[in-house]
Amino acid sequence: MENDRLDNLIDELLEDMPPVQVPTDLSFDAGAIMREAKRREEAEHLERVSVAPLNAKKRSWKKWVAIAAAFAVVAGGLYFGVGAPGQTDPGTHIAETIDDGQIPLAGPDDPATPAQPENPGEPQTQEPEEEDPQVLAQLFLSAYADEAFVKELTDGDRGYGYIVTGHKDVPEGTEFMVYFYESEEERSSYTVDNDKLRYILWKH
Amino acid sequence: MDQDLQKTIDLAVSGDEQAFASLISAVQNKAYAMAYRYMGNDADTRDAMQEAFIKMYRYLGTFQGGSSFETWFFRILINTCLDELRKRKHASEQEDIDEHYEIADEREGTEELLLKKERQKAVRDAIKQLPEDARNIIILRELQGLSYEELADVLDIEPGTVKSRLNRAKQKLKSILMEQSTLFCV
Repeated sequence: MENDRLDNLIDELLEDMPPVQVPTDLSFDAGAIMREAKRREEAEHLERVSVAPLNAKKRSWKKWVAIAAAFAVVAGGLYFGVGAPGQTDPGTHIAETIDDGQIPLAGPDDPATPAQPENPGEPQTQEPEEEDPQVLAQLFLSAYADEAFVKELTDGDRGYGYIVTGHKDVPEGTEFMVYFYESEEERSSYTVDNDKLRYILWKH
Repeated sequence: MDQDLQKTIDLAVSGDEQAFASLISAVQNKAYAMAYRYMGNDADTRDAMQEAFIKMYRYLGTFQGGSSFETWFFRILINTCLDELRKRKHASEQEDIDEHYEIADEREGTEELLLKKERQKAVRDAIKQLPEDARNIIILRELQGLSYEELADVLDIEPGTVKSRLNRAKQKLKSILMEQSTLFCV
């Protein structure tokens, strides 16, 4: 077939290509789409947040990862717990699991994980000043429902997320110690510069 | 931007389901036809549209009216379709069952009609093998009938380059057809 004839044939075929028939039952659930969009936005934001208790310097990187994962699980549970009725709801299970205290925070080799004592009579090695990461995560999520608090976090975010290292009660409410990561490297290695910790107040 | 449209967008951004539903309705038929050209079957087309509508809602607040709302959404839709196709490329071959292409004119003779249908199928298959930029331009211009201006807007390219890009895309399409289909051989 000559080149010009082939060009013409392709043009004709393209021109005569049958149109797509739009199905008559085509419809989309606007409400479900909006909910999913909001869920993703929230999840993406929370993904960039991690929470860790005090005494960060003493912790191995494994522990930081485990704590961040625990926070993500708690966050997922909180969201899914209020999901639409009837939807597949893995988060509800997660939330229930948390309530049962079954979420492993770190592997058995991690000394920071409070293990069940084999002999309850023996004294336990503890770090009493440490915060329970689950408690901190839950508290942070409660604060996260407050728009003014979220705005402060959003304003402080330099594009790499942040990590919450602890909290203290103050007369006006609760102050969270937050470090805003300054690079992707810091974020991926959970590196915190203690000199740059900021105190974000949740008034309640 | 049209005041009514702006009002509808504002309402949708503030969480008004009815407003968002009306934005979906305004574009869904044209969007289906466009997405189907990429995805090739009904189920994948609906999935891609659903995904694109989710993105539409997420970024609705950023729509400035620099282009038409439809054009803005079609950009989202095309990128979504291409993303989905990239994801599936390694997973499995794309299934194109052609269920929603209207039947060609029955007045033509059977043999001629069959040949034409086979050639059209070959063209559709060849379009899928084109690089993304060439595929976009062929689908949007030749199959969806967008004007050069609309095309430049949707694909975010210089209007002056549309024609030359289209020609290059057609040449690539021709090469694929000549290589792969005996229906187009000398």
